Amino acid sequence: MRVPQFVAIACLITMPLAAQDAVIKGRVTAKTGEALGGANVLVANTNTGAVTDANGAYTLTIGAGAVRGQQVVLQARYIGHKPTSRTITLSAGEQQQDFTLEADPLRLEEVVVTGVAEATDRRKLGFTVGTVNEEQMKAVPGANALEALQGKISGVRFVPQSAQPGSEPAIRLRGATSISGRQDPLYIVDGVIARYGIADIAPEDVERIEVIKGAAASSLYGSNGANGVVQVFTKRGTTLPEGSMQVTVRAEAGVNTMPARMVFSRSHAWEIEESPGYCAAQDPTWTVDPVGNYCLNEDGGRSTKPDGIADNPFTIYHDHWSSMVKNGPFATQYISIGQRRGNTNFNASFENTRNKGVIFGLGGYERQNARLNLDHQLRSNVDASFSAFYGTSSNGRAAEGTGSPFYSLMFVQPDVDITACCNPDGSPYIAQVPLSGDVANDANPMYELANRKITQDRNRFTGAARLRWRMTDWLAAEGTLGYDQESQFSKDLVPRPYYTSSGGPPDPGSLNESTLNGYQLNTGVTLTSVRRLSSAVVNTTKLGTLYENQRIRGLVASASSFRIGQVPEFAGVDQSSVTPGSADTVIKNFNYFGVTTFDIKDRYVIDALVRRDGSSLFGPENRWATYYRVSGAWRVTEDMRVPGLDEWRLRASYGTAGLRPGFGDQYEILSVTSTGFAKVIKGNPALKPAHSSELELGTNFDLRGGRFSVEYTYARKDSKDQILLVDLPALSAYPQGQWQNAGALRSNTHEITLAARLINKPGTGLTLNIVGDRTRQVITDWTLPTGKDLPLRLYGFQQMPAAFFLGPNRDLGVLYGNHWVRDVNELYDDPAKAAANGPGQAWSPDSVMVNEDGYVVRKSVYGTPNERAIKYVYCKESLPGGGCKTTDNIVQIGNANPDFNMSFGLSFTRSRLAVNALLDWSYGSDLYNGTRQWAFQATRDRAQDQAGKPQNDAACGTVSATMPSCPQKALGYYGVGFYNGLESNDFFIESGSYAKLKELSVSYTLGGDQLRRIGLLRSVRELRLSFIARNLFTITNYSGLDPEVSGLNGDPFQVRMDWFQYPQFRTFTGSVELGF
Amino acid sequence: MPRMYTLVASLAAALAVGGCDLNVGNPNAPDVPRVIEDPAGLEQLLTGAIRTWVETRENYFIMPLNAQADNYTASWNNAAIRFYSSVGSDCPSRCGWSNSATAPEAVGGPTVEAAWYGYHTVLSSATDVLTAIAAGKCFDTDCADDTTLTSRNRAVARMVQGMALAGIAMLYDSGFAVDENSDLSDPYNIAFNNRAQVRDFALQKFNEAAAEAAGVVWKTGDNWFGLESGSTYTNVQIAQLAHTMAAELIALWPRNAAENAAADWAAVVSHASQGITSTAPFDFEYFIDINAAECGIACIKSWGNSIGTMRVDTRVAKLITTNHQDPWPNPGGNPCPTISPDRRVGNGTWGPTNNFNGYSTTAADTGAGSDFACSAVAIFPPARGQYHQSNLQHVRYNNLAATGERLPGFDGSGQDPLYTREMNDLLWAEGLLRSGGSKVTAATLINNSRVGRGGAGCATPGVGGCGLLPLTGAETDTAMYDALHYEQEIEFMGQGTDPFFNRRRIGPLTAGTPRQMPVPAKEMDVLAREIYTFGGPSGPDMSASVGGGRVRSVGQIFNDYRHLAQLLSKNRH
Repeated sequence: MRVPQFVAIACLITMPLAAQDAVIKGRVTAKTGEALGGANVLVANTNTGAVTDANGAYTLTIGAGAVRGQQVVLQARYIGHKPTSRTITLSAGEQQQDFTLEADPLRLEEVVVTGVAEATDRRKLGFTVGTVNEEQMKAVPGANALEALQGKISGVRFVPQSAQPGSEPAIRLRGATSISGRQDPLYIVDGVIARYGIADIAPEDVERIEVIKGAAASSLYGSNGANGVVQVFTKRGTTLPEGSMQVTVRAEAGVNTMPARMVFSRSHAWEIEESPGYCAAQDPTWTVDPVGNYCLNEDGGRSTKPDGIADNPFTIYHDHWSSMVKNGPFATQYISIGQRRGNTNFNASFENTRNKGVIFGLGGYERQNARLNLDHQLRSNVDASFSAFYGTSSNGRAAEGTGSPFYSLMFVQPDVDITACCNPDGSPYIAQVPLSGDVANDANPMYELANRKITQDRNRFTGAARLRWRMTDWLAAEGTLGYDQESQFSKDLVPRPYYTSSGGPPDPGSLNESTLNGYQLNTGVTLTSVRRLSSAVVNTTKLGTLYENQRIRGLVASASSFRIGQVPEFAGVDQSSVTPGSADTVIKNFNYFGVTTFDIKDRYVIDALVRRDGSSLFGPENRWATYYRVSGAWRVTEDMRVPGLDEWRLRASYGTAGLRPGFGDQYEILSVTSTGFAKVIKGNPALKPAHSSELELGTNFDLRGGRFSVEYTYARKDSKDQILLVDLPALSAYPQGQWQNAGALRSNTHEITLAARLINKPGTGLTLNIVGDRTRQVITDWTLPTGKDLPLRLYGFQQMPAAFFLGPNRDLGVLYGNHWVRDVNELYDDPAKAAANGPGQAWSPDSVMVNEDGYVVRKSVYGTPNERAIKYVYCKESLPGGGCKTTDNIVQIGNANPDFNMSFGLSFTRSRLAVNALLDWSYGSDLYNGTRQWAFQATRDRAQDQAGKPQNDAACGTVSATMPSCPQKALGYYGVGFYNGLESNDFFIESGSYAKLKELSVSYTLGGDQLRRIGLLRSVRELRLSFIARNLFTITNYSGLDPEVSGLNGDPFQVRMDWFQYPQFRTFTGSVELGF
Repeated sequence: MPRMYTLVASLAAALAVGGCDLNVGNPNAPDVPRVIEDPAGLEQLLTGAIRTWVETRENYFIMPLNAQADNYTASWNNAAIRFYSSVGSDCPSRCGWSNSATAPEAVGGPTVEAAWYGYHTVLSSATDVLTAIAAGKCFDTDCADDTTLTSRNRAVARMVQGMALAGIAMLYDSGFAVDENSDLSDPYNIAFNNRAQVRDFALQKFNEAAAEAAGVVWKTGDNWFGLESGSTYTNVQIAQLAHTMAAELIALWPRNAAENAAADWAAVVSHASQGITSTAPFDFEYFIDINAAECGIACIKSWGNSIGTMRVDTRVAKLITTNHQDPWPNPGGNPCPTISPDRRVGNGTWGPTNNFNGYSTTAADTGAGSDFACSAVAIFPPARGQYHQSNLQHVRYNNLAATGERLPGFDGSGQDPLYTREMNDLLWAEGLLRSGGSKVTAATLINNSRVGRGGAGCATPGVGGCGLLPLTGAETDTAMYDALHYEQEIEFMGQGTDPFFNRRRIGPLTAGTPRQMPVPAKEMDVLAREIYTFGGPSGPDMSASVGGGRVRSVGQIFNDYRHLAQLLSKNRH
């Protein structure tokens, strides 16, 4: 029997040297002369290789049985350097092969593994794979691993759904694929499908992140891949020099601060004791409030001035914002130990992080992580890898949204001392708000922050094992096992007694506790062949199967009343108020796939893939779905020389992928009430995954020896069979309808990446990385019957204005609502007003004017408490013979999609100094400032402050040929007019454009030699000192705290609403990192 | 080496075999097949329907109807109360129904949807039960008591069908007169019935329910009408209840004076005389548990009886006191204490202490009324429309009010009387008056509340009230009707949208106020039929007995009203 060449080679590698063996020795160095420890020297298209030691030396021994004087390609690779290959003759005896690697500062020739059959040189991809490497992450470690992607890969956008410490931002890769859901990609960490996010991962542990953005690249992930894939690789001992051990200790500490503040009105419109006896003169029963100088009526309440103008200064002005927002500490400590020796290498790490945020009274986020990655060569042709991770975290959070402290802050008046102590039970801070009856929704935010305790504790265990068996010289089998478990405990405690702002009887408190325990198990087997079919063609083929099993169990209990205080568990509650709940979900997926790639002459690459997915999430009538991909790349400059270009590549890929339904979507759902059942959702046994197809076209230019690179990509995604909750006729009796495959979405994205090594001198380097994208996404098919005139939907969450819009042939992310008339001519789009616009008629042009704020108002009410902006009305449907059949006042008022996004990354090194900066620029999006809108109901918004305006003329309220000047507006102008009953309107649409310096770090590295010269730390390899700033400053016209804001529900990229959220803050830290 | 091959092959085979079973059940929610197969489940489909009916009748989103009736008032725009009840703010007079599926809560999008989908859910569940009974399903494990249980559940399911159909007939201009015998296999192409047909179909169900209930002796289950403390009713009482509901349907169905005059008042008498006061009088009530206390399934009572949330409109305040003005006199407001001979109104004192909850109230004394309190604080910002201001507060169902009230003894739960004896008697009395029946009997029936709850009369009304003079039947018709309507204002208050139904037929309603609802735009969109609406400056309001014009509208909103139940927290806007 013929012994496969590879097996023969592999078996003999570690055997004692015999005379007939081939021994290749050498050194791998950088062009600068620096020894490259940890470089790989490989026999191409096999896995035969060796690793260099700290001196860059290697020895590769090939047994005699495999030595036939044949020619093989020997390749040397090292991170950040261009691989170098040479053809050698394999002959018995020893030969010297030294390699000098040229730097590849832009990583243009690195290999990627995501979405492809085997590790592939990125120059041979038919689609884009974005990467972030350790060096980039090390410059400014994010609060979590995901943040490392910010601004580094084109088409990758982030929006924080909440800025609370420990929260994970929402991420979207290119355009949306889902109309109704979120756009989160699939996360894979060291081969484990991570269903519970990657917020737990210490950023210092991450070696590399690869990102594929849509179906053109992600078909390998089938019904899980339409939103793209983010694959995280944590550090292993494989990158260490042979025989070495490295220890890294890092400590970072600093402070969180708020870069912006809420600005409020400093004036009010209540009657005050303007002069001695004024109040009594107005009404004999009135008295004077000794604190606020208000006139108090016989019931003890305040009365609004007849003119309604808020120009009386508050006699006492407490800065509530400063009371509620405090600088908070941020600290993280990290240690890792890695070793590579013989057949075994490992990397172990521990991280401790504490982030207190910026809001008073909260516990903040604490996290401890431990990780162990171990690789061992069991036999000469069998490798085993293991990864284990355990993380535990606790988070003391604030409520957000309606009713939260961020909400009550917008209503409580500034003369209320919210820091005052205390309540009858001694609890801080005083809950009762003086004169609370005059202002709706006011409450002391400090009282809630100090006394209501919302906590979330999590434990996470992830384990992975991989066994790779090189069966022949061209065939390898691999088995993988991944396990990811999360347990979570959440508690929301409102203690008894809980005092009310009105001073009435205190609330008996409430308790809500929930536990969630989930695991995800994925296991798979693959067979990979790499064969040189001819001298010009190399084929890589992979066949695989993957099984996933996920189970999540949850238990929740709530009680709305405590019987006694200070027993903050269910033992202390009124048992009749307890409501329990539980859920158990099991999800099974089983998939097969095959992918094959032909590499022809190193210049033409053709790739094809097919995957068959079965999932318990699909309805029983559609249990299986098929996905495929075809892609190709042409390295043009391998065929023809193009002056000035090192590499010019054309790429094209077309692929399909899916989005799985939610667990319950296929089932009929009856709700269980206290006394029976009620129909809610009709089941759908035919439910299938949403189907996304993507065409990706692109080109790459590399020039000036790899110092300049341009990558352009156009991608068009068509996502049909959307999983939508579709309304049914009332007689079907399911009031929430049925989940159906309906509707389609198309997105077009242009992405560009410009990378330039502007200075590339020994000791000095300057790298600029610019990424940009523009995405437009349109709903191309909608759920309602065709033939309807405008089948649209507006939606919102909680009590937020329903400004968010879904409709056919409209952008996903547009905002609709009322428009306030700013041009008199707009008035007459309303047929009723047009019919009355003649001389002397009710809506004649003479009857209206444009006021100081630019809004059209009626002259008859200008300068009075009844002055109001006028809503735009238009004829939506005309009668056949003329005239208007239907009018409407809902129009498009904004678009949450930016015209473009760009990020500028700068990396400068000079000798041992390094400076890194990241500037993020988003232009052209609109935001809805709901936080301000609701506050218009009260008197605290800055717009309502009339004190700084010129006084109204005495003639205000009279109509004359020359209208008087009345710039001061009454509260009703804002609180009734623009407030608009919380209906969406364009007064609260603001530009969401911004430029933000997101990251800035300055670091200085002292080498071991320097340290020893100054007599310090003899065993230290290097010492790195850094100053790091995150979210340093923002340039924006947005009046809220931060333009990177989204609503607390729904798709964060569509629901761009400021809605009483925890604000984004900035962090200044210093760090010390020691390498041993 | 063979061992490795075997290992890989075994693993692959295990994956192939194990992974192929992709059938996973849903243990987290019941579905109709499982419910129907389980006798207890089938019955709970029925009891769930009863609860959904309560939730629909007193739904959060139809609170604007009470404000449109100038019965309760509020300037909060929760559930679009302000939008629909304001005069000349968003519309020249009052706004018509925003029958646009694009319209959010702020402008009343869900208002026309809530009852439509709620009542159809009720109808469907009751019909499922009757279908299952017809298919031979029984309600105990061995069918030993099946005759009794089936009879009981058939009777109640019939009544529930009637309740759902009645709700649709009273609120909407069209509906579907369907039951278990209807072919619903193509729900997209079933023709609408007009509201009279739906009403008559509902009456048929009430009659069938009453007949069925008269046959076999039984009583309803322990938790059918509220968990733990829910009342039970005998077969006789259920028959009585079906008659009271029939009387209510006939009497409150008319949209205007002409239809009111044309109503079959003799039938009202017939039904009411067999109603819940016909033999041993009782109230039909549903126990509200603590979790619904904020505003769960009895929102109209919860909001209407919360002193910081809604108030009694000055139109009613003027009617039932002698010292409250309509409109509210700006800026001083109406005075406390109230003056009324009616002990339900009393002197306005209320609560355990003065200034309870900060609303400038006076602690209850011997002159306190049973139904109303006076608060010196008019809770609404005047800039939002002073016609919303009021110093009078409904407190009759204060035990169901929002948790913020925290009255002594309040535990967030209590009985919600959905049909009171007084309601039945007043329907009966009106039937007698309008059908030429006995005025003496009518007077007696009116006196049951007028004197029974209002207190025995004295000649000189005064602070705290000393009661109302009883009617004798010798009074003029006008006096009788005035007394009747006075009683209806008080006794119907908080009872779902009955105050609106009552006022639309005897008026006047503020100009522009729509008197019925169109089929929701969401439904019309799904059925691909033309959308229309009622009320407002250009739409027909049914103030005269003519058909409504049809106005095209648009759209579809994302959230079903059930999703919007999250809105029930009391953050006010």
